[in-house]
Amino acid sequence: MSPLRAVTTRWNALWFAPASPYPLAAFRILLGAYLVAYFATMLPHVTVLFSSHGVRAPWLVPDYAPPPLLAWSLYLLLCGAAFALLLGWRMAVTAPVLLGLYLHHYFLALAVKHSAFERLIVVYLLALWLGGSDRVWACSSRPAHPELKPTVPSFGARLLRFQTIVLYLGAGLWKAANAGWQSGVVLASTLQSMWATPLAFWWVRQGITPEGWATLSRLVIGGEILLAVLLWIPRTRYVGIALGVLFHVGNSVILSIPEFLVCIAPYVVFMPEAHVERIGARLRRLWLRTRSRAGA
Amino acid sequence: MSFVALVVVYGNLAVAFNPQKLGLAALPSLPTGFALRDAFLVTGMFTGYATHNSDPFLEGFVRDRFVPLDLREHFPLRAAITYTQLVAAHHTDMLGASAQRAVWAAYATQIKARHNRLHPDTPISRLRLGVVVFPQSPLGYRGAKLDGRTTRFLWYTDP
Repeated sequence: MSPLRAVTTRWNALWFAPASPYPLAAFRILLGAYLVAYFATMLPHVTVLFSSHGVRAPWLVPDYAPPPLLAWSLYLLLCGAAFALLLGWRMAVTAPVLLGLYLHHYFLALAVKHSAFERLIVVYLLALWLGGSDRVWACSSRPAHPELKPTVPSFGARLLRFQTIVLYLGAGLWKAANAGWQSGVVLASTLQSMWATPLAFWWVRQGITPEGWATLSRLVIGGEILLAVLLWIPRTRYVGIALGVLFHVGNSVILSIPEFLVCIAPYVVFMPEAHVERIGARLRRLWLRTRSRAGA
Repeated sequence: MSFVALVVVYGNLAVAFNPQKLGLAALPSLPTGFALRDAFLVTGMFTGYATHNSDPFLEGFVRDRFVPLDLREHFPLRAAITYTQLVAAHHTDMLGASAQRAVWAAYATQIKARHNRLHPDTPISRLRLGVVVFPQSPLGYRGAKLDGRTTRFLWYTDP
């Protein structure tokens, strides 16, 4: 086998080997729920954020803000597409439409904030679009033959795992190389900044010494790098998931950035495929039972 | 799919593990264009700090003097997000101070138009924006915002 062919074979085995569709479908549902909630927070401000009657700073594009009626229409389409993602309605249509609408709003008004989570959403949507995320647990999925187990290419889940591991490893290493993080001043300052919640200020009032801040900083840096390693190794993934959930929930309580909870959604693709399928089946049975009781 | 996988893998490796950002400037960096660097900048959150907090303000020129405007009428999201919008964080970090001034100029035009549309009885002909800065305090965001401990910075006046 030629070296080029060997590389191609390995590449294809890495990205396109058949995999269970359940983890990606679960991620689609979680991301859909997140996006519906995230976009809903903008509902009272559509005119000022996204229309020509508002105030915005487009990123790298001319100011194409539409008049209010069209801005509202595009926003409602965005919310509808996010809901269709949650339900799993025809991903070949929903995902590119949602991605297009999201990029419209991103370049027009959201990009100015320079937020990492908004870039992650684009990668997440690409994984869902191309990965076959509506194969199961989707309102447009066709029932599979009872003797055939449904599969999708491993592309979607692998892309999400890679992006998540790089996120934590990179964030940890950037902080480790940052003098302000090494000394603890960045952490101490952030917990008294505009992002800090009352709990963060309470924590600062406990009189932590400079050495204490440096130690806490090292814990954050070490925690982020450890999180990447734990998620990477299959046997330690559940520990990584627990640590990650703790980290993000803690972040949301100490800093007023609940948007970063989106990083929890891809954790489901780190879980064993059979576990995701079993948990999903249980939740589905519970849902059907609740619905039949409510009907009776 | 292969193309997307290649771009995501390369973009992440080139940006997240850029030797210059990791304090290893002697090592060579993977080549990245502006677009790739911007698209995959996901690991650099909270790498800077300040010893002060600030409250942004907007003032409009009505008849013969500047009067304060309601900031939330033009920037309705929570205070921290408003600050990143006003400081034009993305434009400033990636393109520099001239891009920031261009955003302020655009804001000024849009805010004047919006204000005059919403308040035709008190139209403004000029606008200025800036911040009142005060030291950080464990007592709360504005815990140290006392008279004499604040400094006012005017960022932009239009025209």
